[in-house]
Amino acid sequence: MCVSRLHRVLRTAGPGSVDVENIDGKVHRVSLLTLDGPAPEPGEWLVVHSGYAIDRVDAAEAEAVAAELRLSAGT
Amino acid sequence: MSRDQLAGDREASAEGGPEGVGAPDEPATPGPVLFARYAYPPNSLGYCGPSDPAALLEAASDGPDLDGLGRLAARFEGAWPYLQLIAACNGISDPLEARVVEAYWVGNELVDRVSAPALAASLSDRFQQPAIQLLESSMSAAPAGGVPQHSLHVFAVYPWLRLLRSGKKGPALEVLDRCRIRWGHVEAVTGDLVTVRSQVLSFDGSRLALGAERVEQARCSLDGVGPAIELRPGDTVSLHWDWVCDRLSPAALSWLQDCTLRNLAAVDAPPVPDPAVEREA
Repeated sequence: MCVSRLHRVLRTAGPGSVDVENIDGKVHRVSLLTLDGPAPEPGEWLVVHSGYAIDRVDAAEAEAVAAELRLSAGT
Repeated sequence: MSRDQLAGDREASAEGGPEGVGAPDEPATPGPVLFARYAYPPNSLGYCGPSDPAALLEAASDGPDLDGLGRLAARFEGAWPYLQLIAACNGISDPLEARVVEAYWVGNELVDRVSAPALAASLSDRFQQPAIQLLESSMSAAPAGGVPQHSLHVFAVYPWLRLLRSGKKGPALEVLDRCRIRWGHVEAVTGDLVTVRSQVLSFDGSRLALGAERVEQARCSLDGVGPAIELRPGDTVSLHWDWVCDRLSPAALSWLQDCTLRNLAAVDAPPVPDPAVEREA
């Protein structure tokens, strides 16, 4: 029932995890176990599913998607 | 275990009340409460739905606020459209009617009345919009033979099977296994914890299947708060993440097994070529 969600990195939260904020402003801690490449920097956008960051998203594309999702949610 | 055997089991064990989930002779569980029992585990982990898991847990316990629970249920963006689809295809006005909720989480005859084109159109509408495809990139088509029970979403829409097949193992198999609704047999009950024996998913490099049995500890309540289900050793139960959701009647168990196997077969089947692409080639 879960769906992938877009999150922006807030800060490193120890080895292998970061604190992220979803488009509603809620903060979660997610694992980087399934993310390729270097640890993401604050401000980067990630696709998160079931507590794991699974992909990176270009900032411009992420902002556009976040705006569309906010619009469709009426927020 | 064959689908014919499962169908025979269902016909031979039609007890379980109109919902077919609880054990025989138990009062029917209201649909919103049933929804909360299955939705609470991932909600408590922050994976889906509104950010107030305590409200769901209380609603799944005694004295639920059904209207308030209905409002919470509609905010589960993964599950809610499936409930709407199943209800619409069965001429049922309330997506939280118990039979509809049971169909989505466990499976029942209502899933067979959702036609393949209706299911494909629903999935396409939801997951092939550009904004959503960025997030749910594994959903390229509705798998042939799939039914709108929760395991279809887990196996076909989630990114984890794609990640497994690409060689990225990590937690993928564990997530797929914990998020599907699985069945198990109770071996012991101690306070909030239940010892359950169940079958885990396996992966051979391309195909998902049911694998070996394992014994695990699952929760049936949190500090005494939780679904009012009296569990005993020998009971057959449904599980979602690390929680026991309900006791299953033989008919409900048969449907859950059947839908799981059908959806495994659907995602394990070779992809059907798109006729338009074939013509171009």
